[in-house]
Amino acid sequence: MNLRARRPRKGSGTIGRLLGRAFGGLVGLVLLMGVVGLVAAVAASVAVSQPMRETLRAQAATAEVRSLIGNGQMGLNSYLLSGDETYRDSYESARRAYPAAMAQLRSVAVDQTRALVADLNAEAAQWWALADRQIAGMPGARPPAPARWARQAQLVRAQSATRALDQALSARIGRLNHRNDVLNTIALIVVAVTTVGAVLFGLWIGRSATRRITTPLAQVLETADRLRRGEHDARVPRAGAPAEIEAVAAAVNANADEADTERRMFDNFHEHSAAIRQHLSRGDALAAAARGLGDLLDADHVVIRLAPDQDRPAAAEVWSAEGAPGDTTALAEAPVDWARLRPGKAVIRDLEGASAGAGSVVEVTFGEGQEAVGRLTVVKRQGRDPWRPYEEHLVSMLAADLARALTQAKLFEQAHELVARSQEVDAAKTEFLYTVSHELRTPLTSVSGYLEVLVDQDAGPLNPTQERMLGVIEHNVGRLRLLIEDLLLVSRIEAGRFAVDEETLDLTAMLNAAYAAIQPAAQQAGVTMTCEIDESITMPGDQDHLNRAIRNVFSNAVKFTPSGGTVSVAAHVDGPCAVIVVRDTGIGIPADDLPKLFSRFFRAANATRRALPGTGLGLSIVSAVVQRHGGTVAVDSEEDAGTTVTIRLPLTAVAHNAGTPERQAGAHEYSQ
Amino acid sequence: MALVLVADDDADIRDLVTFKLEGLGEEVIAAEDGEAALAAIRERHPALVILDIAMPGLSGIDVCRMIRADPAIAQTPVLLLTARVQEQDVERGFAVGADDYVTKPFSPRELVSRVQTLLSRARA
Repeated sequence: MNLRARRPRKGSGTIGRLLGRAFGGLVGLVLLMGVVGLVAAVAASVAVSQPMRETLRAQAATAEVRSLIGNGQMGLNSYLLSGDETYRDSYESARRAYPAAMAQLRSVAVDQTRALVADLNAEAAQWWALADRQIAGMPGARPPAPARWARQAQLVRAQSATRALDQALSARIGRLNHRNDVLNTIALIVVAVTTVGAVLFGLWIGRSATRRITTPLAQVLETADRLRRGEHDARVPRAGAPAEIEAVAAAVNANADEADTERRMFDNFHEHSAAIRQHLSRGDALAAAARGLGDLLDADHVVIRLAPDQDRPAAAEVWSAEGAPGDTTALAEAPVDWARLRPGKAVIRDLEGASAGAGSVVEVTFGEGQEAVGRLTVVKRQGRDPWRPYEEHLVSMLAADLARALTQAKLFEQAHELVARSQEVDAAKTEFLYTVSHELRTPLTSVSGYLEVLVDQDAGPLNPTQERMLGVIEHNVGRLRLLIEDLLLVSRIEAGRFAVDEETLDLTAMLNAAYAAIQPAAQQAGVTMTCEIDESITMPGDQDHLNRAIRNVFSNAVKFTPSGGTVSVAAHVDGPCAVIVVRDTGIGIPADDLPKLFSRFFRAANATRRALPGTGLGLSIVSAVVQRHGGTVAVDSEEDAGTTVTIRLPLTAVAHNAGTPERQAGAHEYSQ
Repeated sequence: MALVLVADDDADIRDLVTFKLEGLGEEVIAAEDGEAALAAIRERHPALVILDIAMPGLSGIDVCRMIRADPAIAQTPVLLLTARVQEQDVERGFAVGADDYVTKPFSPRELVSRVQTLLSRARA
């Protein structure tokens, strides 16, 4: 373990090796401590125990020598005083034991004490010599006092030599004890230092190992947490963590990558799904589905087969990635038993053979209810990534989208066809209306021309009866002509062939003329008319069309007013508009019929009931003409009480568009 | 007395106009289509020509244009008969040099008075 090991290194081993190294280090430390203890013990033994043992032996030998000399002195003195032989024996046994004791002492003497032992030996030898001489004269000759004193003095000298030796040995013991203390202290310090070192090292190794395990683990945990919170781009940094944690980090990152792929795929799926569903044509929906699936799943081929239905034969849509190997002929053309297929979940199967590059396919049959509408096959050639479970799911869902889009397209196409057909019918009807009314005019020209010649009596005089009859014909030809003109106008309005000539016209004059023209009919019907038209109202507009519209309104008022009723006509300027009000006390219009009043050919229920003649074209022409002039028509009516028609026309030119009146619906209004 | 040509594919109309004009003492040539009318005009040089616009083959407009393009007959007054639905015919008629028009269904009285106006203007 050195300092460099603390820095993270790429591939710095495993947690096992890291822990092994840490524990190995600790065991080494314990061993080191044992060795240090052992060395301290051996050193103490060499430096203290051996000399101590020798010194103690020397002390014991010294004590033996001193004791033998003391016994000799006591035995000799007692014998000399009492002459008792027992004392002489005591002396003799001490005298005999002495040489061995001295020899023992000399043998254990160490360097510094050897001189002292020699000293003691010399003094003791002299004392023994004196004592031997004094005992030899006995029992008769007791040594004189001076001799005894001399021996006593020699004993004192021998005893002091013993004391000196003893002191030297004691001092040596003291020294050895001191050395022992010092050694013990040193050993204690060494052990203490080693222990502290071991503890520090243990702490360091533990922290270092912990850091190298917990830091990367914490990163893994943090990344997992961020991923859980939705930070999809969070990844564990990969730098020198132990192999096991690196493996976990790699797994977490791989998982996140996979989740990313899946999420992206689902995002794309929603896009494609919407794209498929928004197509209203079958071909577009098919193409979008095939291309979408191919892109989404990174497939090589997508083949969509469609079952035949009552309108179309079976069909196939094929999409292939650029440069994808194999061909899809077999998949697109192999016969399919549609009656036996049922819509269901997607299945994965192997694609045998080389038709589309042998590989794996996801296949799903889709349809409406239990009926198979088509089958969708997505091909990945061999050696590519296998299908993920959710990819099967996506194929199923897109197939369902496609089924819905196809149904929708079918409905849309049907609706489209219906609309086209109804437009055709409408156009044909308008054309028919135009042709019929145009063709009616040719015979009418002859009829009215010849009639006029007859009435003018160019072809001879007429009797009164003939004249009256021709009058009836003339009246009805007039009605027929108006009806045809109305039909023609309506057909032109519907065909969009309706143009107004813009010129400044005298509305007052036009209204007065129309008022005058309706008078005979009103008188005949017993309807009283009043008129209140302001002077000189002028406006831009089409004389013929406006005239037609106004006369229509007037004649309606008279026609629907029973005998004895009144029709009032009023016209005035109101701000930017000319307002024409035609009020009658007629049969009115049922509330239910008011909304349909401006539809062509519509006739109010009470008008039909009373068998009042009419085509139901009048008000639709009025409405169209007035709208073309930028004006409005309002009908206010109460059944059996009367009707008020109010026309408002702008006094200044307004921009007319060329649209058909249907597009301007709503410009008229009605109220009760 | 003047020579008037009437061209209309409808025999009833031709007869009606002929009857009305002959009753006033004019001489009338009737033609049933544009080609016949043009041939008769070049041959007889009528004082006035009444042309129905909607005729099969050469239309009244075509005949009128050819009259104006032929120096020998270019001065002949031309009156067009037009169906009311074809407003643009009137404009085209004036554009190719027609002098007047009458819309169908027309009043024979009105037609005759227009004819007389044109004839007296031509004589003046």
